[in-house]
Amino acid sequence: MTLILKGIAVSKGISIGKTYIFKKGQPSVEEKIVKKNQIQKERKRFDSATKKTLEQFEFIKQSVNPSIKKNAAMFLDTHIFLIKDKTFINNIRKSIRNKNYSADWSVYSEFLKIQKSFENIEDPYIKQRIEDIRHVVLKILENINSNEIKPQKIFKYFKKRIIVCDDLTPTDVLIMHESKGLGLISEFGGPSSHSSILTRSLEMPAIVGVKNAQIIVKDGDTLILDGNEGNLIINPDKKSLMHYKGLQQKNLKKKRLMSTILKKDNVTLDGKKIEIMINLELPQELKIINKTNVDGVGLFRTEYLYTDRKDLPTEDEQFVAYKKIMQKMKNVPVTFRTLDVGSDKEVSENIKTGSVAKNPALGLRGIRHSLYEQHIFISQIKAILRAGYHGNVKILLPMITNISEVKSSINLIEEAKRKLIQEKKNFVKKCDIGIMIEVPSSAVLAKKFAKYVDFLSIGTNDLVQYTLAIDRIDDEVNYLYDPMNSAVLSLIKTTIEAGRECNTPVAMCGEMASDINYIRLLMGLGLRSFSMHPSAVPEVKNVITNTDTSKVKDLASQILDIDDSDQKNILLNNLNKKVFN
Amino acid sequence: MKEKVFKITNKLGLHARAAAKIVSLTSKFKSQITITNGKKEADAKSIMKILMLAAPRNTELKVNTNGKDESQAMDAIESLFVNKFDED
Repeated sequence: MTLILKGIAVSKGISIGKTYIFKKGQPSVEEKIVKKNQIQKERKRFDSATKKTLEQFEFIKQSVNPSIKKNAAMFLDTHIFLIKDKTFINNIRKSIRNKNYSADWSVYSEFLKIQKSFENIEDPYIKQRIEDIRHVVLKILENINSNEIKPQKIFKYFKKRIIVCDDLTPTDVLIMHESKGLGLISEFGGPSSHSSILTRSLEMPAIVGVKNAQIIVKDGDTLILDGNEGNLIINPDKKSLMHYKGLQQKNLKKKRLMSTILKKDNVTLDGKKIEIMINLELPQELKIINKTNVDGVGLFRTEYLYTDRKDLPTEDEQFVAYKKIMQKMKNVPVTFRTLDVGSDKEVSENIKTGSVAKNPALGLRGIRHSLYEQHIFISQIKAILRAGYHGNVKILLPMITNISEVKSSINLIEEAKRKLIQEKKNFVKKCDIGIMIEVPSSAVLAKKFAKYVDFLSIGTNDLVQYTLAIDRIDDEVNYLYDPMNSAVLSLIKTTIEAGRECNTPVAMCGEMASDINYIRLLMGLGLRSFSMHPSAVPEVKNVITNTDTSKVKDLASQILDIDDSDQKNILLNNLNKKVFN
Repeated sequence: MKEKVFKITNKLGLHARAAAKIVSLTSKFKSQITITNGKKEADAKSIMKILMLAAPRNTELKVNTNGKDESQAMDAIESLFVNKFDED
C-alpha cells in the first residue's frame, strides 16, 4: 500500500530507490560504576573507540573530493582535533581510572560538563560549536558500543540507497554522499543545521523531521523522495512512479542544458549583445556565481552592513567589505545601491530616524533618509569611491522622485570626494551615478532625469506597488499586484525610450527581470540589460540566447495595447512560444 | 618566555575553524603555549579549551610562549592573528 509522509524539505531534487535503514544504536548513557577488575577493560573500550573514530574521520577526509574538503568539509579538521584533544581524552581516562565509571558514562559525563560551560558563552556562533563536540562524542559512543562499522563497509551499504536515519551528523552526510547514496531522510533536524546545509551544497536530495520514519519505513521498501515538496512516498503505485521518473528525467535534461548554456555568450539569435547582470544581497552569494558568465553586478544591496547591530558601520569597515567584492568581480562593473531604508525592510535602531511611520512605503525611505541623515550617506559614498579605486564601481540612488533629490545627492557625492582628497585617500575620481526608476513620477519624467545621471535602473517591485497602489504584503489586496498591467508596462517603455533618446543606459533589476515569462516581453519593449538573482541566470540566459529581437517587438506592443488580462496572457504565451521555434 | 597581546579581527571570532587553525599551528612547536582571555586561560594545543575562551570579534587575547622555540612560535601565531585566520 502506498503511504505518504511529510517532512521538511531541506535539499532539492527527486530520488527514487530502495531504502537502507541506518540504525546507529542509541548509546546507553546512564551513570554506571564498574567493578575494579573491569577498569582495564573499560579503558580499552574507550581507547579503541577513539582510535576507530579517528580512523573513520581520517578515512572520510581522504575519500572526499578536494573541492568539498576545502569548503563544506572543513569541519572534519575541527572534529579530528577534538578527538586528538589531550585535555578531553585525559579527563575521560581519569574518570574511568579514579571514579570507576564505565567508558560510556565517562565520555558522556565529560560532554555534559563541557556543555555546561558552553551554556555560559554569550557569543551565539561560538556557543553553537557545542554541536561539533556533540557529533564527536556521539561517534565515540557509537564506536564504544558497536563492533562493526569500518567506514569502508558502510560505504557499501549506502550505495544507490535512500538512507533513513534518526539524526544526522555532518560526517554521516559526507559518508552517504561519497558512497553514492541517493538521498537522505532523517527523523530529526531542521533546515539550518550543519548537516542540512551540507546536503544542499552536495546537491543531495534530503528531507528532515519525518517523525517515526525509521519505524514506518521498512528496509528494502521502494521510496520516492521529493526534496522539492518534502514528500516521502512509500511503495508508490505505477502511476506515481512514472510521474516522478518523468520529473527526474526533466530535471536532468534541464541541468545538462543549463551547463552548456552558461558557456555561451550573452547574444541573441540576431546577434544583439544583451547584458546579463546579477543582484546581490550578501557577499557570500558571490560563491555561486563563479561558474556563470555575467556582465557585472547590476544591484548590490548594502543593507546587510547596517542591520542586526547597534552601531553604524565605519567607513573603513564598509570599504573593506566593498573592496573584497571588487577584487572578486575583477573588472566588470559593480553597482552599489546606497542604503535603502524602509518599506518592507525592517528598520534597525541604529539607522532609525523620527517616529514609526504609519505608512512606511510612503515615508522616510531610500534617498529621503540619506538626505536627512547625511553623515551616514557620506560615509557610505566615501567607502564606495575608495573601493572604486580597486575596480569598476557605480553608485545607484534609490527612491528618487524629483530632480532636486538628484542634484542634492550629486552635491553630497562631490563633498565626499573633497573629504577624501583632504584625507589623502585613494579613490576613483570618475564614477557613474545612476538612479532607480521605481516611482511613477521618475518614470513619467525619465527623459529629464536621464540628462542628469549616467544610467537608469528600473525597480519593478516598487514601481508596480506605487503605480497600482498595492501593498504586496497585504494578503487582502495582493491579487491586484500585476507587472503586466498596461500602466506599468507603459512606464517601463517610457523609461527605456527616454534612455535611448538621451544615450543613457537603462537596466532592470526588479523581480520581473528574473522571471522567464517576462524576458521576451521586456526585450520587445527595448530592454537590453537585465539584472537578476544569481540562481535565475541560467534560465533567463536560455530565453535571451533563443530570442530574435526583431521578432518580439510587434507582439510586445500589442500586449501593451490590450486591456483584458486574459487576452494579454494568451498573447504572452504566444510570444514565449512562437519565437522559440 | 614571550608574551604578546592580539586583537581578534575576523568576523566570526575564535570559532571552530579558527581554533582548528591555531591548534594545527601550535602543535608543531615544542614550547608551552597559552592563550588568556581575561581570567580564562587555555592551553593553545587544546581545541576544546580554545573554544571555551569564547572570544568573539574585538576580544583582546594574551598569548604566552615558553620553551626552546618560543620566538618562532610567537611569530607564527602573530601572523595567523594578523591574517584573520585567512578569513573574511
